[in-house]
Formats: sequence, C-alpha cells, structure tokens
Amino acid sequence: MILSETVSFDTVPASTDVRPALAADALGVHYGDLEALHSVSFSVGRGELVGVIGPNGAGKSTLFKALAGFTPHTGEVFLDGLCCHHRQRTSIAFIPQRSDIDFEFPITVGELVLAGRRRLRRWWQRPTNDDRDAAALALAEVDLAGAERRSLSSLSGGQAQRAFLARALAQESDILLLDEALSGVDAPTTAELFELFERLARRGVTILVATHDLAIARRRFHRCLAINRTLQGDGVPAAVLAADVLDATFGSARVVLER
Amino acid sequence: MTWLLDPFQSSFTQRAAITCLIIGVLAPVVGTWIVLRRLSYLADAMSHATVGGVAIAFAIGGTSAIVLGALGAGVVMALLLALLSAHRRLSTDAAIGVVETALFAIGVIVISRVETSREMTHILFGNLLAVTTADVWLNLALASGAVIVVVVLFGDLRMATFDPAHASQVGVRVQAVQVAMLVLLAATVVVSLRTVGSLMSVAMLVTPAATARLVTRDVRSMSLVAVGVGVVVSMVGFVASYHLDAPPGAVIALVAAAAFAVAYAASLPRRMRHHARA
Repeated sequence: MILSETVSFDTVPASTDVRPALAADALGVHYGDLEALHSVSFSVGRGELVGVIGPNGAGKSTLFKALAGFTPHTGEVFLDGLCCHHRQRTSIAFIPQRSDIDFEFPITVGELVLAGRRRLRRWWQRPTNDDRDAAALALAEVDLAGAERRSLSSLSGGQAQRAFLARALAQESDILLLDEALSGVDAPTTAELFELFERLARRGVTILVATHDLAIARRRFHRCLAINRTLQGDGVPAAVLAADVLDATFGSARVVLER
Repeated sequence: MTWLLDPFQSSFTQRAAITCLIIGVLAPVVGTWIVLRRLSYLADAMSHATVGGVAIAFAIGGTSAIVLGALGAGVVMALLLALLSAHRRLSTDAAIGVVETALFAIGVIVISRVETSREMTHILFGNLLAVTTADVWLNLALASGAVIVVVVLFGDLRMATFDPAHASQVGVRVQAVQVAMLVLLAATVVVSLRTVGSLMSVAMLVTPAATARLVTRDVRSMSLVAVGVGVVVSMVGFVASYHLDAPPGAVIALVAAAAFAVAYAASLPRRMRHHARA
C-alpha cells in the first residue's frame, strides 16, 4: 500500500538559517511515458545530514540528478530561498554511485579534484596556482593530503568517495548529493565516512546520501526522506523508519531492521 | 646504415616519410580520445564510410575532389548518427553499423561502375609515393590544427570523457566537445588517405593509443607515449615496407600491432600482481 499523503513529522531539527539551503517544490521527472518522480517537495537546512531511503528504482538517483540540474524536470528547485535554473546549480555537487564511475579511467586524484575548479575559469584558461592550492586544501580536508599524484584506480572504495568529496569542496559546493555512497563499503570505512560527513555538516555543508541501508539510516542521519516515486516520509530517522512509512516505501520488499 | 637511409634518398620518398611522420603524430593524439571514449568502432566505421564519399567525389570531380568527398562522407555520417541515435530503440553501435555499411556499399557500387582506377586503390590502401608537396602542406595544416585543438581543449576533453554530467555542470560544453571529436576524427581519416589508406587509418588511430593505455596512468602521459609509439611505428613501417616492397599501410599496421603485443606482454606481470591483490 502506498500512502497518498506524505507523512511529515514536526521533530525535524530546526535550521539556524531561516531560509532552507535546498528546497524542492513539486519536483517531477518523466522518462518518456514513465513517471520516475511525482511531485516531490521538501526542504533541507544548512548543515543537515539527510538520508534518502527507498528501494531500487524508487527514484533516489533521479531525484539527485534533477536537483543537480542533470535531468529535465517539472517543479522548482530553490537554493538559499532563490529559485534556480539548472545552469545556476553549481553549488550542488552530485557524486555518482560507484557503478557509474569508470575507475580504470587514467586520471590522477589531483586532476579529478582540479576539475571542480573548472567553473571558475573560461574554456581556454589553465588551472592557476590558486586552483592547485584550493585542490590541495580540499584533499587535506578529506584526509587525502598529498594524494594528488595517485591514480583513481589505486584508491579503495572509501578513498574514492573522499576524492569525489574533495572535488565537490574544491568546486565550493555547500550541498553534496551522494548516490549510494555506502554501497560496497565496509563498516570501518563507513564509520570514517560519517565522521567526515559530520565534520563537513558542522562547517555548514548540507549532505544528502541515498542508501538502502536502513540500519545505518536509523543510527547515522539527522533526518531521513523516504522515496518511492513520490515522497513517502520526511522527518527524524525513528519516525520515518516506522512500519507504516516503510510499508508505503518498500511495499512487500520490507527489510528487517537492525534493533 | 645505408639500408636505413636508402628510403629517404629521393624527394618523393622524403615527402612520403614526412607524411608518415605527420600521421604518426596526429592519429595517436586524436586516437587517445577515441580509445578513452570507447569509439574505436566509430573510427573503424568512419574509415569505411569515407570510401563512399571518396568514390562519389572521384566519379564526379576526379582526384582533386577526393578530400572533399572524404570530408563530406564524415559529415553525412555524423549527421545520420546524430539522427538515428536519438531513437530510443536503436543502440549507437547498431546505428553505426547501418550507416557505415550503407556508405561503404555506395562506394563499392560507384567503384564498380566508374573506370577502374589505380587512384581508387590508393585511397583504400594508401600510396605514399604519390604524395605531392601540396598534399604535405595540406596534411601539415590539418594535423597542426587538430593538435592545437586537442591541446587547448585537453582539460575539457578529459572532463567530458570521464564524467560528462559533472563537466556540463561546471561549464564544459559537452556537446561542442563531442562535435569537435567527430571533426578531429574526420580530419585524421582525411590525412590518412595517402599514407596508410582509409581502411588502415583506424590502425594508426587506435593501436598506438591502446598500446599507451596499457603502460600509463594519466591521459597526458598516455597521449605522449601514444605519439612516441605512433612516430616509431610509422617510421619503422615505412622503412620496412620500402625494403620488403610491401604496401606501407599494411606494414605500418602490422608494426603497430607488434608494438601493442610487446606492451601487452610487458604489462602482464603487473596485471597478475594486481589480480593477486584483489
């Protein structure tokens, strides 16, 4: 059974900033005749760490791509309260899931992170020393200082996630969308990643992470959004991971939660 | 040493050697991106499709129209691929297969109807010794232009190839980069006509770059190694074809394949260690 109304909870931590860092109003995406996302509305405050849960094919990646302006959509996206055309969303960084990245591509970590600085240059301009300094700082922030010359293929799963986070920081993005960032990552690495997420969130970076892992969602996020084509729940993890919302989100494929 | 210098004695063999050098630099520079973007099949198809344009141009305007015919075929192929690839039920490789064979078939029929000409055979398989000074300058201009485009667009090419969605978000014009890629590919095939022939041009586009890919870790060094391999195999192939009295295009393609085989064998121990760790 899918709930016709979004379940909303009032216990979401209030943001210190009045205007939400990111908001979606009636966001919808169609792939031909298929409606991948229907009228999704929510807002996220600055420095919030939000888990986006839902089964495979629920539209989590589609939601992120629409927010980042990669996919045509109906509805509006607001950044700091201002309605933004898709070309104006460079403050949103989308980090694709592991299976969407060609890890054998011959690129060094330094080159990857410097790509985040491209929006500050014209197409004929080369990266400056300031760009290189910013890239080095971003790498230090994700505990990959000095890794500029390493190839992407030599990184572990957790290190690769950090490298993409560094690209987002070098891009001066303050909203990070991580698609299935925790898939195929072991428990210690997951813990390290969340330490980093928390550190960035305290600095005011807003982070949304798509995940299937409900146990992690319960323990680690400030707040959760449950998605299955449309928004099924929005609130603190304990409330969103309640039976009725999970039934609406996952249907018969309910996952047994860790106690 | 004279056997090494013999092929460079006369002016027409010198022009041939310079043409080999030009393609030895140009094809790997463009080919690096063809290999990284997994467009080797497109390069192969483009070389076949060129035959249709070249045959029609030759039938209408003779030898002087050949370059225009090749460029025309490249443009027609690019436009048809853009049109067909937009259909959701048609994969890109199927669209390439349809367009390539159709244009090649046109070439085969036109060649069978026009007076049999050695010139057409030269287009298919190359004829280095017929290269004129004007050809050398045209090739040099095309190749210099292509190399400058790649050098200027290097960062954007890398970003658009690795992560097009992110590249587009931070201001790279991904569609324009793709069009530039097709134009570069067409220019390389045109320059290859006289050297290795249109059918063998894919060997110089793909094999040196694929060889470099086996032994390098970033695109910059891959491009440089690919150019090194391209220059060496084109020169070795040129000298060998002179002494063996064999078609230079085929000999250069075989030398390139041999270089690839050596690099593949050399990379095996590292790959085995990598698999053992994984």
